[in-house]
Amino acid sequence: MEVFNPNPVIFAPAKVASRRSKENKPESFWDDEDADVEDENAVEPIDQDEIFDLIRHISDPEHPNSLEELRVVSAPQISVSENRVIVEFTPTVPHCGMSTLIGLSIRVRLMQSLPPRFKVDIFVKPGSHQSEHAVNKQLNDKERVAAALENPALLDTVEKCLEKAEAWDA
Amino acid sequence: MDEENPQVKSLRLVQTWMAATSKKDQIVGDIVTAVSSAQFSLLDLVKSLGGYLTSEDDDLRTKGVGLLSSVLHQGDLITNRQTVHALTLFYCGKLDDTETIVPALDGLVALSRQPNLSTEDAIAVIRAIFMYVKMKALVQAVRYHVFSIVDMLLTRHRKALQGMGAEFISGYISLADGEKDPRNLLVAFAIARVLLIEFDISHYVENFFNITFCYFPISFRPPPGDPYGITAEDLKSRLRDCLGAHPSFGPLAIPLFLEKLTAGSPVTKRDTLESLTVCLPVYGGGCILEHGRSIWNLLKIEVLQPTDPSTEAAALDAIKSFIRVISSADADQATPLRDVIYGECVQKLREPEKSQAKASMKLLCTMIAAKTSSSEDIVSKAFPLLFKLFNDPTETTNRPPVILLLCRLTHACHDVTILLPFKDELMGVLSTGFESLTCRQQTLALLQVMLSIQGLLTTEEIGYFIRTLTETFLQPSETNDEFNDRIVTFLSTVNETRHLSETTLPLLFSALPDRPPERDAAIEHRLIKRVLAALPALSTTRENFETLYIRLTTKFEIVSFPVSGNHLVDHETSSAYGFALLKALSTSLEAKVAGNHVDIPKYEELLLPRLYNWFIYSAISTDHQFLAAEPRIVLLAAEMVSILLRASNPQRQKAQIDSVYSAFFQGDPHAIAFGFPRIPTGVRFAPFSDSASDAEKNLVPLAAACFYPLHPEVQLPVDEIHSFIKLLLNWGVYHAANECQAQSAWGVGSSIVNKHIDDSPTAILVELKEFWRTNICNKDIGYEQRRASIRAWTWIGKGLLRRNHPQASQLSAQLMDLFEETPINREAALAIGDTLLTDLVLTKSNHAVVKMLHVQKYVNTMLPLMLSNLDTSQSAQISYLAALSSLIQSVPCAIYIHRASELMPFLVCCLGVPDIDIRTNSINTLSAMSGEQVTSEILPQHISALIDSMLNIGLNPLESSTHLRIAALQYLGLLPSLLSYSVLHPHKARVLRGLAKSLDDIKRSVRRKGVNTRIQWVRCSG
Repeated sequence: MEVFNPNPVIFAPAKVASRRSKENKPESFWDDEDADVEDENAVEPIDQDEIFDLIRHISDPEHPNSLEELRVVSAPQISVSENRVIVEFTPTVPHCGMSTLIGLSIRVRLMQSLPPRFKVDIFVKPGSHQSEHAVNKQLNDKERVAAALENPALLDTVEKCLEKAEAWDA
Repeated sequence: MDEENPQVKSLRLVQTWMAATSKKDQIVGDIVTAVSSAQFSLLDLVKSLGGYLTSEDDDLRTKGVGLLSSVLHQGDLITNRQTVHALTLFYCGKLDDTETIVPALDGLVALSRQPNLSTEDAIAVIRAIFMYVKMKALVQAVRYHVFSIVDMLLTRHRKALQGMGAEFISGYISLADGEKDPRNLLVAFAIARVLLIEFDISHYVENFFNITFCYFPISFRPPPGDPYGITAEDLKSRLRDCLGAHPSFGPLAIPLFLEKLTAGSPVTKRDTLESLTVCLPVYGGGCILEHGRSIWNLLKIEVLQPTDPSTEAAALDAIKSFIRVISSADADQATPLRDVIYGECVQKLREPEKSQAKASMKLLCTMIAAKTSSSEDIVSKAFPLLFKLFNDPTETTNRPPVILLLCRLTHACHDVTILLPFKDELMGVLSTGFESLTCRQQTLALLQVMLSIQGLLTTEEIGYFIRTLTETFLQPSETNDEFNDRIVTFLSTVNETRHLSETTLPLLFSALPDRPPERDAAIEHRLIKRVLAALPALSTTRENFETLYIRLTTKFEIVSFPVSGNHLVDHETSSAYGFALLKALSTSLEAKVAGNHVDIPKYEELLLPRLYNWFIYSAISTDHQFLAAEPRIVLLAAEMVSILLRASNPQRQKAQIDSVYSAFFQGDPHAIAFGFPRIPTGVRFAPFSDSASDAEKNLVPLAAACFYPLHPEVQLPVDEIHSFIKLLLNWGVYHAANECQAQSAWGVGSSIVNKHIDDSPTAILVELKEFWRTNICNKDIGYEQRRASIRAWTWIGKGLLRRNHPQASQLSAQLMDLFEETPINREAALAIGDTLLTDLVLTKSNHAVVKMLHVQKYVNTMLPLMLSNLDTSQSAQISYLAALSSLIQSVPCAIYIHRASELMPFLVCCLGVPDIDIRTNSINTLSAMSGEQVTSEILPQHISALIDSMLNIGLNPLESSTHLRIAALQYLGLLPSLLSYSVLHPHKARVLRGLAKSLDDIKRSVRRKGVNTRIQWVRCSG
């Protein structure tokens, strides 16, 4: 099998996604952090970090690294509005033939993990891929995605990429 | 015994054997016994067999030779040279005969073991085998005999066989050629190794190559239930011994290995790499160098783009072996290759942030670990390059990976003499690295590696870095907690106590202010917390702890009892800061007790009077009440009292409890309190009196903490135990201002009942009966007080239960009387399970009486009681369900699993009760049971109801809590692993539809669980 990028840059993953709301808590010497009573009725909307948590541990098809470690995905590249999620990802090299597969893995993961009310759009970062338009078209066309997932070999590869993400906090 | 003629006897036995259809082995046994007890000789036997051995009838001949061989085999008979010689000649002759070859080989196996087999006979046997035996015509077992004979003769007559020269070698090669059975191959490989090493095979290298390398790589997989127990590993290692047995294999073998390395599966790759590791040193430099480039290219790819960790490790081993070989080779030939290899690896380091830089460093480190003369060569190339990269102003972003590479390289060298020339520059990296926010962690790792190398850094240099790190740690703006933790771990493990006590600790103490920081001063808060968290880890020695004790207690007094400006202070921040100071001290004390330090009694004597003094002074004073008014800090102080007294002996405990009793129950605070600030004489202190102030009542936990850890033999200072218990129970119900005070009083009662019930059992039980009547059953007192009384009751039950007292289950059973009376029935029902809950009072470390199997006994009494009532009593059914769920959820499921089929319907019922606690208990129990075998048998009957309830609970945010929804979803997620798909299939669509809703839950943690559960169900299919 041809390796598109044999020597990628590896980044250290962030330990846990820091949630902005927590940072506003005042500092205190009482060590009663676990006694922190959560408001049962407070709504926690689905946000950027939550979606990032879902996809950061997906494995790269070419390397034993996660998409986060290769900076293929990052939290700022995700935007969430009422019923729409837009995920942008960055292939490690412009000629990466695995981009569609990576995009497909992200789509399958989000299809399984987000409520059906969301419309999910997945794009490669503008200017980061030589056939950007074709990849985007493939990833956001319902029929094409469905057809791709009918292919058992492809589905198998996608499931392999998702294994680590699914096992992460199970 | 009749004296039969030997000849007649042997003839009789032979004829019996020939005629027999069963028990032939027994007759052979008889013959062996006869021969070994000299009733007749082997030659007599041969004479008796005479006719059969030469019979024209094939069948008879086979049988005849067979009997003789069986006797030789079973008998293990030692015979003289002549007999052996005669038998050998006879058998060799029989090899020619297709009908007798099988038994003849069998006989030869026995003869080859004979110590009296002469060299000439051995050679004769070998020659006969070479001449007559056609291996391809024989079955496995017989071929095995042939190999065994050769193997045995090779062991005993090696010299003679060596003397046969080419005749033996070529003969054996044609014997072994084409063997396929793993059992035979194990022997054949062993023989081949001996021949390769000890015989002159120079003319037969290719033949040997053919009969050994044709088996590489071994792809044998033992059939299931294989009785021979031969593994692929056995074959691989025996074969590997052959492959690496002769240097002349090199030119033939290397291309083969390389081919397998390019084309093979991961298993083959690993096998090849491991074989290369063994073989390369044998084949030697000359031959390796010829293929040097190709070997290197294939080996390095396994590290630069590793398939899996084990293959990578195997490749690194092979590389180590490879480097050793080429280093020992002729310098003129090896140098160009070595230069290429080092050049390539060092080249990759130029892009330190890329994945291959790390891999190349692995290669380099492996080469250094090979300990060849070229290690220094590598070091002298790699270090300067990395230093250059580090100092390159355009590459500053890459400094962290560069430091990591330096770290590995330094670690690989691990030798002062090699590293010394680079020490100055390494020190430079350390200094620069600690200054940069992004490089600190890596720099610390480098420092740790450098410290681990004996003699590299001087004490002064270490001291310098300890100061640097301490200062970094004290940077107020530092927010990287992980790095700070590492600094503390580093400082606590570094073996430089002097620097610690002279540099680090004073700096840390001086970072603690005399006044609490302002509420919104987040940075100061974090710094102080950090310092206080670090202090216990760094104050483990006796001297350092003493300093810590003095500094922290003094600081606590300055903060809590300021000499001036008291009214200006924000009391809440003061007590919070005081809490943090005491917490650090308590953490240290705990570690000391755990480590059994000898100086603990000293601190018991020093600290306890001061602790009591601070809080009693605060409670009775007018302007310092904030300390006693804050339950959190009182509880912490109480915990410190318990920590110290747990480690105390009964004599000292007795003295302490007497003083505490005088102070708290007899109005003499000076009995226990001593120190700053001075408590005025004649002051009133009576927390248990009716007129006690809230601040005084708040100190009850401090008294309780002294009771909890008492040894049972310590005599209590009270007049009557039962009246004291009554006082405690009622105080908790009627006078306690909050739950914490009440629990303390009841805890003391429980602890006393546990340790002293036998002192006056009747009086105590009478007192309990009275409490039941006047409190729990008494509808005239308030509902809240009745609830509190049930909690007090539970505490007493706990005390009795732990010591396996029969009254424990009696007390609980009594609660069932309340099951029809709402709303008190809920409290009563849950109390039955609460009695089992563990607590921090009745523990072994508090010297409570804890008997084995008390939980089992209690459950075995209570469970049948409840199950029978569940069937009969309709009106109290809900109470019984609640009690059942709370009872079994707090015990290990082994205790009730034998009644699983009875319990399951009730657990499903519990899920339908609209009460969060009952539902949670029930789900916890179901989850606990899920690991058991019986569960998967019972579950299918209830699966539909279970799934309905779980979906109902998990998807409905209105009637549940976040935790409950998570528990329900978690349990749903367990089902696919517990049950077969056929059971789940009818529900799959419904569950997936339902779970899609959980992905939209208002709580993040529920959604996350929903995602996991849904994946389990998506994945499960037939």
